[in-house]
Amino acid sequence: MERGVNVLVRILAGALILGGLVIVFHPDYRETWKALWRGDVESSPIWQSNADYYREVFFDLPGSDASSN
Amino acid sequence: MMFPVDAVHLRWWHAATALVLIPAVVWAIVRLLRGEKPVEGGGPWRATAGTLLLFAGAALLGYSRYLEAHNVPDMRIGEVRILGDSRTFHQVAALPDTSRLRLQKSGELTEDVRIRIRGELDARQVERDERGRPLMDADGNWRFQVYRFPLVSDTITIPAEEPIGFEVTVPQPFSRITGIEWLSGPDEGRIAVFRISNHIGSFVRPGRAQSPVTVLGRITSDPRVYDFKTVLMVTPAFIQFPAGGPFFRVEGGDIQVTIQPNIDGYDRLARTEAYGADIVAEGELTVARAGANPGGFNARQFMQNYNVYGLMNLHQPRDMDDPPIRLIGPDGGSPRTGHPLVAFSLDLRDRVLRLFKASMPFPQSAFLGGVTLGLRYGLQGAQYPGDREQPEWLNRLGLGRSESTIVDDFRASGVNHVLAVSGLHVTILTAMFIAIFSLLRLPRQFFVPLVIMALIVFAIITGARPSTLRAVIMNSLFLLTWAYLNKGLLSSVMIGVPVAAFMILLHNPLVVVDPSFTLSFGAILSLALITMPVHDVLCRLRGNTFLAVIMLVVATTLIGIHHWALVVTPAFWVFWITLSVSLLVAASALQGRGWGVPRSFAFSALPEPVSTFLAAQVAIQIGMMIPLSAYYFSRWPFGGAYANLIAIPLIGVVVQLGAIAGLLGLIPGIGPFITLLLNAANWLFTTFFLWLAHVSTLIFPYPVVRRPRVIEVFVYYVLLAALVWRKPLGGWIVRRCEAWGWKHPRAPALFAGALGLLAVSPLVFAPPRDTRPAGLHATILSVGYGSSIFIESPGGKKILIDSGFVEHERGRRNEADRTILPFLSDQGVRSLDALILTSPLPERAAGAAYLLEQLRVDRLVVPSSLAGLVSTWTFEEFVEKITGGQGMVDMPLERFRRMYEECVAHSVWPQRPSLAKALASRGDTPVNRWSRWVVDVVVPERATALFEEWTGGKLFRIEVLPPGREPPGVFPVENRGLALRVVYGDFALLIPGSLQYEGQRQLVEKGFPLRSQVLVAPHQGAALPELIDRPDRADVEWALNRYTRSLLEAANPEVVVMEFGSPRPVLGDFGRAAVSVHEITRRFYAERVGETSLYSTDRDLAVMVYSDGDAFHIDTQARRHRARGGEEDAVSDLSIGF
Repeated sequence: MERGVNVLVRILAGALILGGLVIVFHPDYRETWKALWRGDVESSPIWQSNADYYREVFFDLPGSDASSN
Repeated sequence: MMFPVDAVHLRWWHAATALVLIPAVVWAIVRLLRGEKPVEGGGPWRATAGTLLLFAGAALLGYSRYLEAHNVPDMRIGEVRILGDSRTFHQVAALPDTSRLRLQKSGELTEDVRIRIRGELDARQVERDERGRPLMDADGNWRFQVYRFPLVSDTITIPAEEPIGFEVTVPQPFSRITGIEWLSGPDEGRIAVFRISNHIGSFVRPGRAQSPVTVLGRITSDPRVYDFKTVLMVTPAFIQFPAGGPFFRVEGGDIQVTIQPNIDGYDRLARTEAYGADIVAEGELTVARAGANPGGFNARQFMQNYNVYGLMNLHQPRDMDDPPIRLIGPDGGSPRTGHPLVAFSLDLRDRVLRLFKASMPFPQSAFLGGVTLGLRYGLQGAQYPGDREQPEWLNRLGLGRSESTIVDDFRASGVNHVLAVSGLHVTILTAMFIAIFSLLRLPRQFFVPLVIMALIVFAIITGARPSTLRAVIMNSLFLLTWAYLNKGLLSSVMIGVPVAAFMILLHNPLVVVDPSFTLSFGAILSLALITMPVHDVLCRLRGNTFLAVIMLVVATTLIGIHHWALVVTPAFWVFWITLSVSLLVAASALQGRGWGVPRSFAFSALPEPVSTFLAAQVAIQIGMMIPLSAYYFSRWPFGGAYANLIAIPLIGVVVQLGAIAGLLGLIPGIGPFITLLLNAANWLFTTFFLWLAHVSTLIFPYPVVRRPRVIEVFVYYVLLAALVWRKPLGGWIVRRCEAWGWKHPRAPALFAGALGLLAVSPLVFAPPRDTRPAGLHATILSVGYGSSIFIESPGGKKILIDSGFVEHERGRRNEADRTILPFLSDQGVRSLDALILTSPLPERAAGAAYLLEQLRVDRLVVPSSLAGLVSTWTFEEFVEKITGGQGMVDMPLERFRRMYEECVAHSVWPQRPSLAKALASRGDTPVNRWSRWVVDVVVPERATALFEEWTGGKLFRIEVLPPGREPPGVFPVENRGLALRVVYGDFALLIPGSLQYEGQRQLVEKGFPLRSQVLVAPHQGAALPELIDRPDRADVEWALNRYTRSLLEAANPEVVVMEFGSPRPVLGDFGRAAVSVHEITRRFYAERVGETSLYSTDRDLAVMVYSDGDAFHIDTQARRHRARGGEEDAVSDLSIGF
């Protein structure tokens, strides 16, 4: 069990570092980070690439009361 | 019989279930009480066989319940007995509710019986509000008013000449029967009275129904929302049948309701919150189409396996004020919601999906949603995210976009199972949750219930498919015993498997025939039973032997990649086995002399997880992929074992990161940022996964294989079981020989050989695949607007005429892949004596390239317009050839382009198969000769006969009737095609191919003998007099009378078959013209041969023609469906007595 925990922690740590690098170097992810910071996710290139994917599912930040549909 | 499954032997199924299940359960209980621990993978065979017996019992129970679920019998409520002057009605049961009745002749009658039924009707009518909406009370019950009145049925006649069992539906429904009114009849006889079940399947009407029904029901699963429609699963409670009639209480079956976005209130229905809501829907209630061709996909059966017996396709015309579907709430309030746990799970799913959409681009987001949330249909149509405009060298590396979809890539590369949300995912999540809780230092007794709850939520989110349920049940058993019993008895796969099967089938027996059920349990049993025996065998490989095996596997793989057809020839296997034995003997001999690699170079030297993983991959291939993929899909992903070596570890990372990203993203404030960070990393892994599947399809073949029969699969598994339990089986054989006093040293070997023969004996004694009478068989396949006819000569020659259309856009319907290859696989056909293309038109020739990739074809017969076809032809050269120098006339430019792309090459999609490229790869080379892969291209220049053979004193031949060399006038492409006449003895089948009117005239004027009993209407029965999108009826009738009538007079057919379907994918905007011309042409033929002698592949589905050389017989796929029970039994005419 200890081994499983260690593996999970390593995967998470590695993913956070890798994700950081992707956000720094990938323009779409950079823009999405900025859009998320502004609270305007639906203007980000990543969200727009998903425009036709489950279009009835809109974005709302967790904890907000805004209707998502 | 209302349902397609034969329930005649249902009681025998029950007996067999009891016979297997009771001893198995007793065995399991005894073992549990004794505290014995089952051992997996070649352990004591009695223990394992007992477990398998338990599993077989569970499966038998499931199948018995499946038969019960599909066979809602009509209830016998009484009998009319006639004896002399006595005519009495013996009622044995009262009607439980408002019901429809049918009478059945159950004894011989000397004259017609005419009777009327007397009784009462409780006509149930739903209460409505001022806006016409049905009302519900506060408890969610529909509110009705019941009108009771006496009723007498119309006169019912039972003809004396009809056989016993003949049935008549009573036109009026009844709630009570008070008597039978005798009008006339014989002195003796019996007539049974049945109550027709109110199962929803008995209310459907096939095809385009004309009578709308009203359904009151409840949405029982989350809506499937597409960008152009939404699909709702509705469990009906009441149905008004027909419009204006009484409401019947529905006794089973669901309806799939498809709604279009133009419906008022669409937004409220196309959302997860609609789950659990009550609705009223008004529209036609139809049934899914059954398989159009033998061996093809049967949508009706597929849906019925999910308890869906009716379809409603609802849209709202502009002039209609009220929408055809409305949400209804109790007491006029808000609609009800579904089960709280399900509603919570679906809400959680949507929240996670939002995070995925915000943190991962499409289509990687769809892939992640598919593997973590079970949202597979979001991947429909999605393609690998390459760039079409990038440099060619990147395309060559497999980094370019292709035409295939991601789902196609996954299927062909053998990694499709990751989308099935199987045990792999559940195990990954279980391990992840355990790790997370362990990280928090919580005791297992505390967190195990939480993990199980999380797994249940996960199962609900992903749609509770059989594979997911199986894994959740087994993992939960493991967790419970691990946490509270601290021992692994129930955690054993061998107990968990039958328990999971039992629970799933008890809950939903319909899944027993679902491939995902079989594949999931096949996979887990393969892992449990075969992995260790395979591992043991592989561990014996060391030194030179191990190296030799690696070399053989690599060489076989490379040969399979380069030339799959070679690998499946017997000659190759003789060579391969000889080579393998020689190589292994040589390797062993060299090792004995101390030459070669050291013995430490061994499979057993691999790290334990790696060696077990490799053994598991081999076990999965042997135990599940090879036999079951062939059985269910007629295809085998050759590269699956290799792709999964990377895909399985990779999916572990993708799912864990996705799940953690989704859950952490729910934290207010910082959550979405963490999700973005984690999914940015996961974007790399998902992209790599998609690329892996994409490249794998470019490297490895995905061959069509012969579909094995059930008996063959059974024998395969018997032999596999003998291999797995060879040690205990060997011990048993030796002990038996000793006990029986067989002391000869070879007695055990002979006994084992006898058992082996016994195991394969079912193959010898099983009835042959083809039990049809000898003679000529022609199957005119239903391939939409196009043509494909399969001919089997009396001497066994197999000839395919035309190859159907391939739609690359929108529907992506490839008739070669979707219809023709499955049909041939079902028939056990892997090679053709000839493929004849009557024309280069795409609806006739586009599938040829795909067929040539998969089938052995000795001869390709093409019209002169395709003589010398090579992939270097320019578009202009091609047009010149196929039009005989007339240029682009009488056909839109787009049609010429499409023909060029299918026959020669596509400029944008160089990887798309074409006829020229397929022929180039099937040239006369030594390897092609060895594998019988050479195609001999034949261009019949003048009237010739192909395949002449004498069988039973009758001559079979195919006459090729080219219409001539002179300029064909209008429609040069169509009119330069081949016409064929298939002759056997006195029977002939005329196939004029694509000939337009001018071609038909030339064919008649040439003076060829055209007399044929069966005529396949030329040009799909939709020949245009000229290229216009709005043909004039008078012009069409003039052409038909002038040209087609002379063809009909020359052929004088008794039967005409029209190959027709939706022409829009083929002809685009001209499709509308083709439909109207087809209707005129259809009437023209019907007037001349009679409506009953006119068949059409869009209405009658595949048409089968058989002749013994004298007479002939016509059967249709639609007729076969009706014979098995189907639309004919659907109530078609029910009038109400008020």
